[in-house]
Amino acid sequence: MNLFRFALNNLQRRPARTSLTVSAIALGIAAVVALTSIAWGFEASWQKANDARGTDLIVTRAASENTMPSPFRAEKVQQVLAALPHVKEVVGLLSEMLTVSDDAPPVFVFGWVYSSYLWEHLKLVEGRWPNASAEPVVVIGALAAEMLHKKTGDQVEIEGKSFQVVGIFESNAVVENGALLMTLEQAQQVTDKPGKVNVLNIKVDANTTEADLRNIKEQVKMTLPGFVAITSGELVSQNAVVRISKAMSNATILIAGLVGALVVFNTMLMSINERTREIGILLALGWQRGTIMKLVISESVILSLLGGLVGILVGVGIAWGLEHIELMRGKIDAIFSIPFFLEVQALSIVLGICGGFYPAFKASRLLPSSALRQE
Amino acid sequence: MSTDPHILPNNLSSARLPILRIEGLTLHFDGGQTKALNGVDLDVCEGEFVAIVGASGSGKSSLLNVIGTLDIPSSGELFFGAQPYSKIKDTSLFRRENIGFVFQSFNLISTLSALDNVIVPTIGCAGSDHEHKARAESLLIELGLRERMAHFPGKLSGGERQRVAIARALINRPRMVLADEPTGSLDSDNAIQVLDLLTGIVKQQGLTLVMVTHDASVSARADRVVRMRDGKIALPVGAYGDTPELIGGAP
Amino acid sequence: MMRATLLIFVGLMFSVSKGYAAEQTASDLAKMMNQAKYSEGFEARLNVLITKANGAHPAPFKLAVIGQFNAGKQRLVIRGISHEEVRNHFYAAESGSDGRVRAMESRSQASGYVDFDPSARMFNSGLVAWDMLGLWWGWQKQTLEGMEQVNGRECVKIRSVADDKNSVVQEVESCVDQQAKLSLRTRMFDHSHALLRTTSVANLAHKGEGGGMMAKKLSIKDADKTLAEIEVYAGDEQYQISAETFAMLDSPMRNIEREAK
Repeated sequence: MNLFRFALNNLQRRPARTSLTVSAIALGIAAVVALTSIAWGFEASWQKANDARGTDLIVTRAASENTMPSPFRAEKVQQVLAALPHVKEVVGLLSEMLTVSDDAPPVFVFGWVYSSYLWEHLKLVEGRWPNASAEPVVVIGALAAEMLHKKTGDQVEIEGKSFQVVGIFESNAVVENGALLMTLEQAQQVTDKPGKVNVLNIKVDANTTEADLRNIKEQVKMTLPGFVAITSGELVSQNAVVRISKAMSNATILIAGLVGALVVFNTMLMSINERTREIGILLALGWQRGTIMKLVISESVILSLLGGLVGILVGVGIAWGLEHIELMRGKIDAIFSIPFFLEVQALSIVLGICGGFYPAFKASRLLPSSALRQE
Repeated sequence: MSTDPHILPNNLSSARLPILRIEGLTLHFDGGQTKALNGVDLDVCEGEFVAIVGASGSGKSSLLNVIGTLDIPSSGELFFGAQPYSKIKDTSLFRRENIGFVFQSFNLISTLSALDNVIVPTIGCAGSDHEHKARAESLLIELGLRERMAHFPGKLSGGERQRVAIARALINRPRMVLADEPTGSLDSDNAIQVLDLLTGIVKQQGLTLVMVTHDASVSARADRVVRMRDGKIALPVGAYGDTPELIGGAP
Repeated sequence: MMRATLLIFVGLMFSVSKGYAAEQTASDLAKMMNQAKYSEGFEARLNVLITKANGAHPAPFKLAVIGQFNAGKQRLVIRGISHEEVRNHFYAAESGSDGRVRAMESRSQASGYVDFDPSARMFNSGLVAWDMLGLWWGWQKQTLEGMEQVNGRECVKIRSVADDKNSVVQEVESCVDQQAKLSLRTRMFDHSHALLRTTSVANLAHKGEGGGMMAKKLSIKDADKTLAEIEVYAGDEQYQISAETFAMLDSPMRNIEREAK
């Protein structure tokens, strides 16, 4: 018998209340886990896409607050960038989110410079790659193929123009797996943006140092007003959707934390009110006020820890479920990690302590003689 | 046997210092409206068994609460050995180190086994869980509950419950046991058994026992009986012409 | 606590009144809105969902709107992208410094161009070329009518009255979000003060450059209760206007017709 077991025993006395409280906390924690893992997954997936492409730096228009960086004419910028030290390749990319089928949600349509390094990281699972920059064909990601019910040889209509699907590819980035891919030239034509790109990808040579990269960024800032050179990570963290999803996950953390703490607060306050006499006995038996506080806080923390554990399981389930519903397919790729779960558990402990603090304080301040008189 | 509170009983050395000295103690509630204790003076010697008797509302339990530091006196002073109560900084610690409580209604925690109930007061004390458990077991064995340790209070008889409560009062090795009508909820057979065990163990360990009781057969076994009336110690029994059976009837 | 609350309250009042004091006159506001339209070339691609008065939904369709607006000239091309029915269905409209609006229509590349009433509905929806030109910001008579809230955003109500008594739309009542430089709700009235259409902005997005915001989602409700819900799903704020972009408006056939009038 020790404090922990005694606390556990106290919670077991009221199984219905304990499980209700745990469920309430678990719901909040589940929302936190699901949203946060999705927000991180979203970011990581974009990051993966950029990393896999072998892109070291990305050049876009500055002040892009929208989902996609706004398009710009590539030619002159490309020339300036190609002339910078260590720059090996400068490749344009155009992307748009478009509806290509009436019964599927919008998908990403990417246009990549024909036969550039960008294509190298993709794995062709079926068919072939486009044969020429001017060939009006698309290759589609495995997930997109599944969602749009398309296979090699089918036609797909993009912005009123018909394209033949000539191949299906796989990528380790879920964003690309769910996308349609064509040559930049074709993408520019179909979106009526001749000569334009959203992004210029820079690949640097092997002996480029961090300092060299910083130098390139600095040069871009000076010689190309209105443009920024950033690493893929920076681009992703500036992405509006990433920012919104992160803000949403933060808001959820805040709300769930508050609700969780309030639930614990309410439960523990009720519990100590019922146990006034017992607390009086414990005080009479020589329990110190600190020990009473420890007991009540232990009970709160056990509640919130249990809620946290259940919440993590439920949250993982929710994220997994969301990944697999049609509307979300290929757009999210929830990420979980042990440190993340530990942080969630730490959050639940904190809300347990916060919620339990006042009831614990109140219990420890009870006057033993009057507590004993209580029935 | 003397009943004068200021005369030490014959079987104790008059040279011994009192473990408890109470001087001019008052306890008022409701801003002085209710006078639970109204000037109590009392000495209790180490190892002495003092029974406090008196009608309901005479202040017996209030006196016990003040002795046990559960209530703070309105005026007057108490000394535990040489230490004045008013100088005790941590009353919880004081209780834990010096006082063991036994209540009329047992006050066991119903969801804990007999053994765990005895261990409860050790939570937060020095020593390992193992040591506390060993001591609790030996106390329960001593109180004849070897076979009942794992039982929950609901499965124990009244007498057994009170024996568990006694073990609980003794677990932290107090110097003084305060018992508030410990046999009040028991039938006479159980009451005698519990009383025998309590007084036996208290004598054996040289502890001081202050017991509030209604039961003349209980008070008769005390070294000294103190009568309370209207929040005061009454004068020796004879002077008030109390019925002798209250203090008599000893076996 | 009370005092702190009071201070905050007074601070708010002050900032509001300051904002009000810095506000322009009606003609300033109209001028600002007129300039906000200026662009050397823009393209917006729209998804349009029609709900008819009886609740029926024709298939949604996609359009591209390309425009070039400056002080001298305002030109627009509206092109159907998909589905099949609207594909290669073009409209074009322009207004010169004289304030006159001309429009034309082409059903397919082969069929050539015909004149089109700029005040008529395009694609059987609430979309009207005249509305897209935003000519009322250049009208003489503009009056401010106080603040209002539209979709939770504060805006200034401004009434524009047509200079030309023959204009189909005689009065336009806009509610302008001054920071966004965007009218959140625009109501068109005819000569008998009857409401023709209401355009409401449901969702805004930041413009890439130059500050201000653009509508991301809007709806047009016609007098006959037809509702067009429009979503801007892609666009280019620096669209490269080419020689062919406004070829329709510059075509010799067009010029012949004009001379004939």
